[in-house]
This record gives sequence, C-alpha cells and structure tokens, in this order.
Amino acid sequence: MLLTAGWSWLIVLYSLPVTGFLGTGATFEADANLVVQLVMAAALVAGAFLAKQKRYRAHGICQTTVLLLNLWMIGLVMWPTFRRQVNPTFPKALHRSYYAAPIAHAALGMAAEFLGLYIVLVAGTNVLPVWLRFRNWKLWMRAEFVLWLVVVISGIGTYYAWYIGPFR
Amino acid sequence: MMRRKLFFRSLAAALPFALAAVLIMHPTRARSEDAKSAPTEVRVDNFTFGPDTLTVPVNSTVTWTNKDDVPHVIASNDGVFKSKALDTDDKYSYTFSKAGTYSYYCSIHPKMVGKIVVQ
Repeated sequence: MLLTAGWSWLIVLYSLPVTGFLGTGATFEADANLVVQLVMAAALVAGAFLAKQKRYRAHGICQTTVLLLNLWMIGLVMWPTFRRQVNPTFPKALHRSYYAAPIAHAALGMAAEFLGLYIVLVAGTNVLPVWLRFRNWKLWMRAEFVLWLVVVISGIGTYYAWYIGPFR
Repeated sequence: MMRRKLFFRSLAAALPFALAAVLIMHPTRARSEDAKSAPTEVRVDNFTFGPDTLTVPVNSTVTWTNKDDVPHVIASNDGVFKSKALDTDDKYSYTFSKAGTYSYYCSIHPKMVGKIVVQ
C-alpha cells in the first residue's frame, strides 16, 4: 500500500510542470510546498483553538497530522532541494543570504520537527519511560507552536531569497 | 625558344604558390575557421544565460560557466542533457551532434531559459 502510494507519487511528481504557479522564479514543487506550509500553519492555529475549547482528541489529531505531513514534505521537497542547492557550497558561503536563510530554516525546522515528534510521543503514546516525559504540557506545546511559526517565517524568507529577490 | 622555356619555368614555380593562395582564400576554409573561432560559451550570470540564444554548427561543444554565487543546473526541455548542480565557476559542456533547436532552462530557477540553435 505504502509502496504503491510512493510510486504513484513519484509518477505524479515527474508529470508535474517545471515552472511554478505563483508567478515568481520558483519551481512547481517549491510553490506547492509554500502553499502546503501556509495551509499547515493555518491548521496548527486552528488546532490550538481546538485545545482552548478543550477538544483535546481533535487537537491531537490535527497537530499530529500536520507534523507527519511536514515530515513527508521534508523528505519529498525540502531535503532534496537543500542537498542540491546548499550542500555544494556549505559551509563556505554562510555569509550570503541565499545560503544563510535556508540553513537557519533547516536548523530551526529540524528542531521543531523533533520537538513535535517528542511531544506526540509523550502526549499520545506510552513509548517513552516516565523520566523522559514532561508534565508542563502548556509550556512545551506553546514553545513548539511559537517555534513552528518562526520556522514558517524563515521558510518564507528562504523562498524570497531563492525565488523572488534574484528576479526583481 | 629561351623565352618560352623561361615562361614555363616561371609558371611551374608560381603554380604551387597560386594553389596555396587559392586554398587559403577558399570560402569553405574561411568558414571552417570561422566555425572554430565562433563562441560556444554560455555565461550564467545574474540569473540569466548570456547569450540567451546561441547558434553553433553541428558537432560543436557548448560550455556553460556559472559566474553566479549560487548554484544552477542546466537542463534541456526534452531531457537531452542535464548538468549536476554547478557551483561558482563550475563548467558544464555538451556536444551537439544533431541539427535542431535545443531549449534549456535552469531546473532550480525555471525562469532562466536559453536556446542553442544547431545548424
């Protein structure tokens, strides 16, 4: 099932147009990723409101879905793009915004993704031993929420540095 | 009699020089030298290809040089050629053995487009 989905996705990916649809200098996958990230950020905000309304099950499903979908987007779009565009010059060109923006975004993004996975494991499973579980739920989740929004902003910065700034 | 001999000897001596002159000044030779010296370089600079359209004879090798401080990937629209990610001052060459028009772009920045016309 997963294998079929993977192959189908690959076929879809290869049949996609090269040029993006937002009218910038970006590729289709970069534009699609930006839109998906903004939708996911909106979903996280909605998920936070669900928690405020004490609808914890819906909140958990919403935030976990975003976390896993983001993992999918990292593997499919962001990591391959990072390897292709940043790796060849890393770390000698860190002073240029073209490289500094994605490196900051990648570092913060990894922290947010790992922290999110940790929170999901603590909140939704019994996998971790007791001494590894936090008790102050609100603090951890709010920290993750703020970190995630910072990552989204740095992602927009990366998009600007790569696909808008050079073509102005 | 002596005059005629002298004439033929002069003619025989001049013939190789005349032939050499004809060969040097022959238009096909001039053309091939032109082809050799014709630029087959594309400069990738400031997120553009320069020149954006390059006309070359068949069997020419075109070389792209990345002068930007960001990576670019040269890829033809129909998948005939594709470079690796080119860092600053990296080069990529491709030999065009068939006539035709080859449109290409940077697969990282698809707004960057160019064309190689092979005649």
